[in-house]
Amino acid sequence: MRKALITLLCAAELLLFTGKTGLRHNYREVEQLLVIQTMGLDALRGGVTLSLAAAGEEDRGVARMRADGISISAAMDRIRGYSYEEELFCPHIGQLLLGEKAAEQGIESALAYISRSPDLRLDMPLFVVRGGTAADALMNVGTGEKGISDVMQIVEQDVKRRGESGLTTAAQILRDTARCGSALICALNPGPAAETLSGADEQKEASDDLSIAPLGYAILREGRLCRYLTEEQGIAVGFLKNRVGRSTVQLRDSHGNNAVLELNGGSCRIRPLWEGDVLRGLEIHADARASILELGGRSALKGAQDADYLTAQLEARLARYLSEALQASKDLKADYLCLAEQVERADPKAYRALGRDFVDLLPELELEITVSARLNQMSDMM
Amino acid sequence: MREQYNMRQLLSLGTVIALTPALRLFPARAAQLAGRAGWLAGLAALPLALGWAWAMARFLEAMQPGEQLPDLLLRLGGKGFGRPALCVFALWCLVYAGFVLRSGADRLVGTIYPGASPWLLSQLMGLTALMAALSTPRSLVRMGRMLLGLLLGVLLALLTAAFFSAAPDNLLPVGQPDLWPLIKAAPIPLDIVSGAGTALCMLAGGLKDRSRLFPALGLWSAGLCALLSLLSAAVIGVFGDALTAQLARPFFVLVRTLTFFRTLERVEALVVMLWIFPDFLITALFLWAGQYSLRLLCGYRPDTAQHARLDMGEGRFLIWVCGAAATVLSLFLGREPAALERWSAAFIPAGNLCMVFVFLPLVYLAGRRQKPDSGGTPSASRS
Repeated sequence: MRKALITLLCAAELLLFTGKTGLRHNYREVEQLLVIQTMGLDALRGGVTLSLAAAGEEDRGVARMRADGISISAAMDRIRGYSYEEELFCPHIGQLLLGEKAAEQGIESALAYISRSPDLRLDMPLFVVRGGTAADALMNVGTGEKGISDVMQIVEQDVKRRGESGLTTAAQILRDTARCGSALICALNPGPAAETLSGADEQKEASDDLSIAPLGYAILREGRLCRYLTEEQGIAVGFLKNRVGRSTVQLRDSHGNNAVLELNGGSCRIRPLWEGDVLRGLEIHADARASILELGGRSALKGAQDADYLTAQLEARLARYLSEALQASKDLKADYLCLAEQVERADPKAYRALGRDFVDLLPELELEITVSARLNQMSDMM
Repeated sequence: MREQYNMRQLLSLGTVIALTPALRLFPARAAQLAGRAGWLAGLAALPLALGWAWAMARFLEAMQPGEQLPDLLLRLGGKGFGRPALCVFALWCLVYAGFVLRSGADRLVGTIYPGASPWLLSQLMGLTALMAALSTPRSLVRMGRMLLGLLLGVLLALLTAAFFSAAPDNLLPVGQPDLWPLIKAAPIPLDIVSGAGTALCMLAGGLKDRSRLFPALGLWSAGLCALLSLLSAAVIGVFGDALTAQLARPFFVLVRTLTFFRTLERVEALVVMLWIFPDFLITALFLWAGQYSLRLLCGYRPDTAQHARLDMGEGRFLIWVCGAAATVLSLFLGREPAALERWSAAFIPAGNLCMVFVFLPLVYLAGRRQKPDSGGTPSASRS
């Protein structure tokens, strides 16, 4: 009897202790929860604008909310207070969008909020809305049952396809900022949706609905947005971080016609160039593999010369992208690629004996960039 | 007295109770002190941990049949030093039990019960630990043995998942300049290993065979050092040293970020709940040792036999007093986050290291200086 009583007591205690699935004072039925999936932050004079969006549902569409506050928590409280929803459930927030102004003013407070919040995850990807606000993106992107959260899932897949380095998480930004002083953040570009709305008696070529797509990266120096990288420079980032995904490159073939190549693999080797104890520059060698997607009006290459010409064009183009991405780092004195780590890994002893901060050395470094590319056969045609 | 358990069971208990300080202290403090090389701090502490194992084995060789660690302290301390030493030991046990109750409650509040009061959680855990302390040490040891597989299995599964997201850049390169930071970080894993090891030695009196103590303790220390290195390699590998150093509970933050098979995520509540078991065992163990010491001090003759829980004979009411004292202490200890952090990062580890590396050697030396006929403590004459 006593054993049974003790067992019952222990079981009751465990139930009390079982957290999100147990008996708690704030227990809620799942039907009462509005699962927030996307969060947006914008700068406001003396505060922030917080936007939240849930995934679209068949019967009720997309729930979107926004409020201003002197802090993220104050804005969140305001949303909770004035919302029609019974309970906002934030542990499944999957993306954080930052308005351009907010990113320019600095994202430390957003990162600190993520780090401290028991709901949010440090591996949550962060995006900056290029030339716009996060609130606009959250309130306007999507149509009908599809909202920003649904679109962002597609964006994430797209970015991952382009290379594993594409998604920049809060943890990664915190780590890179602490380590290298700068970090990358994925940039989004809002634009009209490409969907064609079809009805019984009308067809529109393009709708007024807004969508959003990834467009390169932005550089954060000491947590502040200081420059955007183009989509092409983003390809170079993939190489420099040794995470090359799939992306297309537009070229001209030997006859002046358009040729579209798909990069489908590659790697990069970065080697410091020392002159005694002085770091003179960096030798960067990239290997790229690509296949032909389109070949201006023709179905096949006419010979080895055509292939060599295209390969040379690709090499030159990639070298330009790499040079631009690295030049941005030098111009801004922002080691957003964490090149310092590569130099340190190559020669830890010499790196420690540098005597100067790597970032201070960056503008003076010579860059020796070489690219070797090869075309591989990915279709039935040569 | 009937021997109760073997070395393997006792070391299982030691591994389980080491998991509490391991996750509280290790990855963040190691990253703070040794930076990127912090993951090697566990291995850096290995020689010192082996030294502790050798010294502890020598210390326990002095234990006579039927004695527990408090009996040994009283006997070795002799007439002049024995009772004060036992008093210090009992107080330390109560403070440590109170601290574990408080920090365990704080972990629950910080991870899955934000805004909740830690008081209720401390009291519930204190009550459960009291029930265990009222039982025999054998039940604690058996529970440790049963839980080891579950906890280690979960831990290794989490670490495996974490290594998939870890970046080698966060762990390497490590070179000669990292040696001094590593040496500075080594006391943290040493504190964990020697603290848990000394705690499990509180129950060494019930061992069936004490003949090969050093090899067993040495191997256990080496395994634990390797586990600590693995743990910090996973955390630092994922977050990098700078971010790890800033996080209060980096392991549980890591668990929050893990996704299994692209479907299962947010398992931190489950994992945090599992870590209640080490808290419970370590609190019960320290309560048991504390009450045993107090009863010895008050002139009672404590034993390790099974008694009815409400039996108050032979000073067993002191078990309830100890349980209440530890629980009350937990309510007043480190009430502000900064104060609790000081307790967690400074007072408790320092106290632990002092107990293991100053207090016990002093008692041992005091015992060595005694004449053979100057013993005659209650425990020595009892067996």
